[in-house]
Amino acid sequence: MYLLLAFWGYVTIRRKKMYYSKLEESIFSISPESVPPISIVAPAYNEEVIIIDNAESLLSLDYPDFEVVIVNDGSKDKTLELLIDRFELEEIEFNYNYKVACEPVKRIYKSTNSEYSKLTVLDKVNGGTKADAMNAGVNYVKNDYFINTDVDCILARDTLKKVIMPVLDSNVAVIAVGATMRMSNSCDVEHGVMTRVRPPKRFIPTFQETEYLRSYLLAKMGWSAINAVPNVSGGFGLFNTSVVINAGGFDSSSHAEDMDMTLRIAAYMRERNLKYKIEQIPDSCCWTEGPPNIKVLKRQRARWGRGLMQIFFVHRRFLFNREYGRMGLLILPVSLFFELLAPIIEITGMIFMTYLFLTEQVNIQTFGLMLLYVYMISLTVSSITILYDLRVKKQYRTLSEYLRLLFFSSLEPFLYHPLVVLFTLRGYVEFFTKRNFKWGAMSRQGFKKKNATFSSK
Amino acid sequence: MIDFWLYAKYYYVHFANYPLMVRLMLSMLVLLSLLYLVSIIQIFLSYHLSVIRKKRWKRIADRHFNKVKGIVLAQEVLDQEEIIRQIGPLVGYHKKDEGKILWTKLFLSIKEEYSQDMNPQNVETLQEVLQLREFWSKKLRKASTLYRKKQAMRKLYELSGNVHTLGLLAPFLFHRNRDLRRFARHQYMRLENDTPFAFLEEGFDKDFNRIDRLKLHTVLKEKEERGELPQLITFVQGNDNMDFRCFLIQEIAFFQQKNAAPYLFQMYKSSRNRVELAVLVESLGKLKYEKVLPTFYKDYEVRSSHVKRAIINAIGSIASKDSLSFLQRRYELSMNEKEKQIIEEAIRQCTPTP
Repeated sequence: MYLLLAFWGYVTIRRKKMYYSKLEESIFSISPESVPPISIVAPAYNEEVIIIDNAESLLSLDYPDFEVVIVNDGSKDKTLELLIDRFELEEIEFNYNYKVACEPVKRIYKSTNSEYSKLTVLDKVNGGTKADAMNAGVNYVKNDYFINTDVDCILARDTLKKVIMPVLDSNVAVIAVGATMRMSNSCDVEHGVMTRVRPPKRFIPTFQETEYLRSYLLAKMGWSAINAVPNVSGGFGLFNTSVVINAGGFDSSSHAEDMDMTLRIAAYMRERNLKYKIEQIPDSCCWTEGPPNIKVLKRQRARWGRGLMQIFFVHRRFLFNREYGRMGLLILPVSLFFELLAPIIEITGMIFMTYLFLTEQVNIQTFGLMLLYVYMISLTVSSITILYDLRVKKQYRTLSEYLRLLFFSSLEPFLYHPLVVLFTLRGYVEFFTKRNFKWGAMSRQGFKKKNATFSSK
Repeated sequence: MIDFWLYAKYYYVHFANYPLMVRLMLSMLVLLSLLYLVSIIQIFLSYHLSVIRKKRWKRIADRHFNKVKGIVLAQEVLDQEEIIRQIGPLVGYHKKDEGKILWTKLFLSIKEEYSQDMNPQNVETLQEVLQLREFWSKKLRKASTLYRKKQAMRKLYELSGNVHTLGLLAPFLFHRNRDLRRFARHQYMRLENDTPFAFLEEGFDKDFNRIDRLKLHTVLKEKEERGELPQLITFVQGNDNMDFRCFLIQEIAFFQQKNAAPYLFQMYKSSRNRVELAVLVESLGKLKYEKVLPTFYKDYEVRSSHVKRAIINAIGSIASKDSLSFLQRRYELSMNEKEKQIIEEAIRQCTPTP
């Protein structure tokens, strides 16, 4: 299946790379009055280490008409104070409408300095999840499209130009657009601008870099060829504002609010017999800080596991349902077998194989052959992914950096994948035992070298 | 040779005795190994090629950037001999495609930075000396794949094609590939002098979308700067494509073609489509056509919310003497917060500044 996606992905990448280039983007400069305005919504909870870098990064994007809305989700640290000081913010009177449910918004701030007129900060009561903060931002924005991003993400300067292109070049309503995300660990960032892209130095984020590239460049680009993108990532995605609001906004109780939103907006369109597309572009638009160690990875994957299990419970009516077209008959069944059940099948297989080995029922040669076959699939898919990444744009400067990713992809099935399986299964168990989940605090390393410790949400 | 086939036959017979699953896996393993090997080689090659291209680009840019910049920015008109003398010898230039591709890139990078200050005659002469348009025209005519044709057409556009390029566009104006066809039509509109607006009468293209709006808007702006923009209302009436009609109506307002206002008003009276009505109302407001006001005041109650908002904005834009009283009345009667916000903004526009 991945090889088929690789082929489709290649065709889609080639078309998008050629057609959505600087030539189209130059039109934005020539006719800025005609470009659709975009809002960027970035929730922040206890992000004092990183908030100024991120805000500066967002404000420096190259696009004629956009606004940045940072939602301070009841931070207990100095996130809000730092923003107020740095950007000369003052509270404004505003008639705030709760189009979708969220915790109360206490204050709205705008800058007294015209240089930062694009920035708005919403200060709200903590809602416990990113989804609640996103809803607060969605209630405020007025533009037809908004970007959903995390505050730890650095966006490329031409992100908005790139991500709006599929929306403009379509005869069918494009309700969401995703792009490639990468790890910002070990990258150089100056005043919120990515100046040097490197693969991460630590093991875990290096594995995750290849994993992300596989997911975006291979899988999602392949799926987008047949309008079957399963998920627009919560770290970065462009959404149609009115569709998101009409679909009820982000689900505050969801731990996979990105996939949940993607499914609900698709369902919203299907239920009204409205044609739609969910697009994916191959460009690396967003860099995010990845979990640097096993402890943080565990929490991340357990949360994703809980979220995935929750998706299939909450949206079980879409599964195998013809009324929901590709979503019901293709996207969800594939996710069910290759994502949700995969860790269960793998662990069952491991246990069963152990039993067979102990009872000497295994033909070693055949077993070795099968193992080699599975390993080669993993290696081949990873190498094709890295090749696509190089062809889309040469992000790394040296060959050794690409070879590092290749080398780590050869170790991934032994060192990284088993951890992912175990942690995902932990997430499933947590879901069924209904432990009380909170996002919690997040302390970050930031983009400059600091000695802060790191713990996940 | 016979030994080889006997050996192959031996292996095949041996292989055919394995269970089906084993045979399938072995075949897949061979395929995957080949794919893996090919992708590794491609990674090395792609990286190596990108490094070589970067070095070649750097060499050309270091040697020629300032010379070319000097030529295109020169105040005095330079002839071919002078340009050739300034650039210096281009060894092997005419033999290899890569040289021309890199020179195109060099020229376009200078153009991107200094387009406002370039001497058009020197630019034209330089392109003749380097034969860039001939190169890309040949690529466009002879390329075997659609991808290469699109690439060549885009380069010709960036090089600001002339009438000779226009001739090359003819096969693509009705091409089945939507990208090529629409791109060719945009170029045609830019370059054609006799009937540049022929496609506007047809709604531009059956796949007309928002990016075409942006591009067309840019072309219309260029025409308007040259004093070549016709009355766009002639292309609105009778056109079946509503998206395209709405686009032109908005362009009429942008270019302040006030002569079209009465016709737009007639369209407003007869239109039943909410989207079109809203666009008509907004445009009439931007054109400041006061005669619509009594109709807008009368129609306000019966229109959809989308059209109502457009009416409020239009009344605010026109800002006539009785607009303020109407807006104030509507503000008092309104139960809708969002509507009140829009009315407030319109009242601000109507209120004279001290």
